[in-house]
Amino acid sequence: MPDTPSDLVQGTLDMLILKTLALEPMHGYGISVRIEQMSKGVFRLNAGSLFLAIQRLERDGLIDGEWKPTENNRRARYYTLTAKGRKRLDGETREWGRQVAAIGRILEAS
Amino acid sequence: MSLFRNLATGLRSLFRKNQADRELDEELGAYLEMEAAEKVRQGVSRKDALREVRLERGSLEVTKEIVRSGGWEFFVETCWQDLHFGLRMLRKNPGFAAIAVLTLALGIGANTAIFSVVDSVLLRPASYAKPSELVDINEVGPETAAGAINEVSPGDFIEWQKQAQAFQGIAAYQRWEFHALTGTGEPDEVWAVPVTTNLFSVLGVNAIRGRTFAENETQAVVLSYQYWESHFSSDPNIIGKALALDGKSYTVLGVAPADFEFPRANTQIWVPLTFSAAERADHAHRTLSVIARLKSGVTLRQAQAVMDIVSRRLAAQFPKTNAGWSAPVRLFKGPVAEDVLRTAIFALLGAVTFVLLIVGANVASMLLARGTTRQGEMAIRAALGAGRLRLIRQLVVESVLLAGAGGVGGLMLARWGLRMIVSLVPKYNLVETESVHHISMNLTAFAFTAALSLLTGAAVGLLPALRVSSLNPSESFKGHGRTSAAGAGGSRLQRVLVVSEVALALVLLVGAGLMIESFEHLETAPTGFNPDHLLTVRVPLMSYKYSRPQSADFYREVLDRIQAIPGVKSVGMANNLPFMGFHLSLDFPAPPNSPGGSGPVMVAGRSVSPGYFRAMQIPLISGRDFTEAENQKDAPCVRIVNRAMARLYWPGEDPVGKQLPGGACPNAAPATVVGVVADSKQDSVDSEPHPELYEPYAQHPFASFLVTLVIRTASNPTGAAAAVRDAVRQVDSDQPVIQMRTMQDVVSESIWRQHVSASMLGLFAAIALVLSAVGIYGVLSYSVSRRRHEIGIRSALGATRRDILRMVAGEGLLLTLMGVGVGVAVALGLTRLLTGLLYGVRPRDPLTFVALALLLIIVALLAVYVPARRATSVDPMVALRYE
Repeated sequence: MPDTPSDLVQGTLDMLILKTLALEPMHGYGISVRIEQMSKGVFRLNAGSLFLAIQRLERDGLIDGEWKPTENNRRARYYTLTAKGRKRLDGETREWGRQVAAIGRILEAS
Repeated sequence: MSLFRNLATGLRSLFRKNQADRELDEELGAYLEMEAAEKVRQGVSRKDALREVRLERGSLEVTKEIVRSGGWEFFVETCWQDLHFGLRMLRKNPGFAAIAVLTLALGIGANTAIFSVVDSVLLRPASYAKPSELVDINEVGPETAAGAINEVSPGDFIEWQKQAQAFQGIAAYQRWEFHALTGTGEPDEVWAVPVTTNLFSVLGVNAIRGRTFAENETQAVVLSYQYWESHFSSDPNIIGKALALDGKSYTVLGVAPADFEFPRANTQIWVPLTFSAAERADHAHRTLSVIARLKSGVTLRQAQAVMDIVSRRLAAQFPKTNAGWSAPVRLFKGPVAEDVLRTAIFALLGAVTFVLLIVGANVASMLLARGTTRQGEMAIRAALGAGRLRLIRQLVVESVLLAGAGGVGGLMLARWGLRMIVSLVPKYNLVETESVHHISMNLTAFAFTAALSLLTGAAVGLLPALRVSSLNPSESFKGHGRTSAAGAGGSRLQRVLVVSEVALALVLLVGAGLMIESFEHLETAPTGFNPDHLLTVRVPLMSYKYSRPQSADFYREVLDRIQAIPGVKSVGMANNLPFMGFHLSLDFPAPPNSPGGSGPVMVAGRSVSPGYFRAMQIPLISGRDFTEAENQKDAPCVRIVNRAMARLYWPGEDPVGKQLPGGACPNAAPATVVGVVADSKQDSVDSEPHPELYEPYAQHPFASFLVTLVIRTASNPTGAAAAVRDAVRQVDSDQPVIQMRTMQDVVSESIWRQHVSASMLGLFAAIALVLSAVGIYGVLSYSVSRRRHEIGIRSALGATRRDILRMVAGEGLLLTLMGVGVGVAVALGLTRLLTGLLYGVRPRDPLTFVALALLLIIVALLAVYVPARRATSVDPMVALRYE
């Protein structure tokens, strides 16, 4: 495992955010921390691309945002997965699994 | 659903920008705050934590920009910003903006106007359905000259209709004829074309009001849109109304579409062409034009094969009239504009292309200069994070703004120009085949030209943008955009552009100069008669009403009454007037020892009243005018000849008292020459007089529909107009009295093509002159401002004002002279194409070339002088500190 954070495979950030939110509703920082933790520091998100993705997902109706107070008494937007988002996540997870398996087979074949 | 959501959110952030912004701020703020709090919890001081977060995550503003750029509304918003910014830049530089917009407007306007003329007159998209199916069918006989065609006999036409299976329909029409129109207000003369009742269906044209002819319909007419508009004031209830043509009653059936011009423009009315039983069997008199529509899928060759079979069958059946005759089938092309007009239009098309090139060069050069001075600005914006695309878009938006404004201006200029062209076209044109009166704005041409100017602008605007955006910002800062490579390359390009501009302008100037000179020659060329104080009016003979002796009496009475009007000095009539577009040609046996061989000689024939020569002031050289006693049907046959005819038949002799060759009189009686008059031109100012024969109008059947009176008045001829009209109407109140105008107008209208092309070319050349002066001025001012530093050093080192003046002016003069050199070479090659339009001046007239080259150089020097003066006033200290 490399020491430096690596770039995300194109298009996977959306899937990771959806997965994170599938566990519980969360604000932007929470998402970024969770992804960092779960990937054991492999993926470090930059705020720009995180919120860009959040904005896109919200506009596509895959997640819903809601203003709520945080633990330290500020306001933050908490995002929940919508039904449509859950469906998309299931689909993408399946597809991802298929692709990873296929790529793995190719790489092992040598 | 999500599309709606996307749209709604986007619109919200567009229109409630502040709130959307605040929310993004707050969300990002919370994010950074939480991260900092996390670090504080791990033991970092709060200040360090904030700093670390900012380092790790990037600046808040950049992050915000990234997030915002994700939405579609961001694109709209930044375009809007670019637009605003562009407008601001242009407002900050009103001089630049005004000149660029005006330049573009001139180029777009001139091209739109001339393209519209080309489209309306030369291209004239056919208004018929599937024009590629339409064919002409003619007849060619054993004696038809090679390449020529004959018209078709009604008998053959009827047989074709029965036998030729290759066509959906075959229709025929006759040449135009004139009729007196009465029964609807002012009596008028109409140009009618008899057409078979199926013509409209063969062409696939429907009436826009009412209907076209039904089969076997006879006493009905279809009006042209233009005539419905002009004579009937677009009467909406015209359908079903009655009118009289030559005294016979007809019903108005319908109005044709505005763009329907068949067989030529200016057809005013269509009447049914029907055939009597005798005509249906007539294979000898070939008087019809035939147009047919091919069955779909039938080729021209197949149709020809069918017609060949039919022709052979007819030749066997009617050997006397049809042996050796065939029927060539050709694609129908419609009327073709005549040569002078074509040449004139092509000359104008060439001219506007040049104008557009000059405009392009000018705008390009201006944008180039500006682009170079804006390198600093671009570098700053690039350093502040503007992407390459953003910079390029900014410049393109600015060019679009310029071209947009130029387009609006161009549209107005084109409208004005077209109005001017149409106003120069004479109102009364009997035989014009061109639809010059229906010229309308061509929007395709407008869009094309606008797009072209825009592309030019954008392309040139892009050059500096591409260069700058690929440069390392710090490099640009160092150079201040003044001495960088982009600047040098740009100014080299600018010089090339200026030289081309000057060259193009010179070509245009020479072309226009030649045309204007030629037009002046035409205007002052002697015609052989005196057009001053001469009123002309057409009083077409109503042949359905008057027999020939009666018509002679009618005109005699009309002339007497007009002669009695106070202020009328003399009056005459002719069956048609010079310059009206017609002349009657008579075949005469060639004189002995004729240089033209033994073929027949064409002689112009004119039937005139006694007194015609006096009214026209055509001098009598020998003999006398006709007498009233000779102007009788059964009087002894007498003739007057012009000098050219006298010289042709009786060289070196006085023909008075001699007999004319050939049986020129009824019953082959000999005709005696009683007088010789001076030559006068028959067709146009730029033609040479033909041999001409005059006869007393009552002695000879004449082409009477063009009968025109000429009235010489003591004072302004139009003052007598009302009295003349009354005098005619007192003799017959149904008599059309039309096209009243002065002989001066007749003469100048006969050269309207040359007038239009000279005026328009002159206008375009003036535009080109001004634009190229602006171009020179622009390049030099720019070069002076770029070289302030250098000029400052030169004057600090002791260069005098004169040295600097000479240096800058020399640069301008050199560019001008190079342009003039190229221009002269190009013009020498191109003016040849104008030969057909020129009168009294050679296409390579050296005086014109020299004079216009000098004019261009003088104007260029004026344009050079201003920036050169500015250069001499550079204060060395200021200039050195400036950088």
